[in-house]
Amino acid sequence: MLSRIHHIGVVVRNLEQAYGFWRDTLGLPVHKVATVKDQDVRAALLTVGESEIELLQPLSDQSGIGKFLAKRGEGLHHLCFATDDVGAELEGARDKGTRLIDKQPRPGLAGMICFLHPASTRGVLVEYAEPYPPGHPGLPGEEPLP
Amino acid sequence: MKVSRIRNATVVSPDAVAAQKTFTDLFSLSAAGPAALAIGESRIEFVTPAGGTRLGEALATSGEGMAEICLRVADLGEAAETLRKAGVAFVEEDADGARGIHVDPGAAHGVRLTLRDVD
Repeated sequence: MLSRIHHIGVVVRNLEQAYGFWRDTLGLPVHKVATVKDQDVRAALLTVGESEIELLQPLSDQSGIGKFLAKRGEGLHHLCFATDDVGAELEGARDKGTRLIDKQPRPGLAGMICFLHPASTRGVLVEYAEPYPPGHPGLPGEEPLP
Repeated sequence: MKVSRIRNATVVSPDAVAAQKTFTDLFSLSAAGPAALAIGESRIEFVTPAGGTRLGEALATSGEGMAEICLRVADLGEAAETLRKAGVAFVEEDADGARGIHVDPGAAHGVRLTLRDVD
């Protein structure tokens, strides 16, 4: 069952520059920064109510986020829903004939995650995230907070 | 500035009714008004924008998809003052009796971002 918007992903050229608006002007606190090696991306999570803004900085032009930045520039990237069972959500989407990007849940910054193909979701790149339980170490690559 | 939550994400589509039905069927979200679905403390709104408008431009250039997010602030006047002091360009607008601030996407890293102090 989907409970809330977990986060909205925003592609930026540089995290440190982006903090000037999202953290300093809007006042959203950064609570996690990490490098996700298999995605070739640095990500920062900023708290907003029960949700987050996820700033994504590509580390290479060939990564998915790097290609997005080159083609479309900075901007909105994806919408992530929180769930307590990402596997069940993925199965449910498959049963409804939804095109999937991930065939199985995988570890991500937000928890166990998977993406649906925007061709099935009105052009919106949708992610499901089942947050890690308390005490879980999460992904390696976490950086000190700015 | 006091930002309390994501008020809504806006999906633009040539057929907003059909887009809302896609999200209703796929995600089992319940209606929150005539063109919106509830998810936690937020909403997903569905719009077929007129040509020449801010969101119409988004639909024309980027196609169907998530075109805007709106954050709930405590006080729109205070938010405007904070943006002015930071040198952030914005436009204030009254739409259907609801005041809002549209932040210049150039300042918000390409994001069409609206601030509102009403639900």
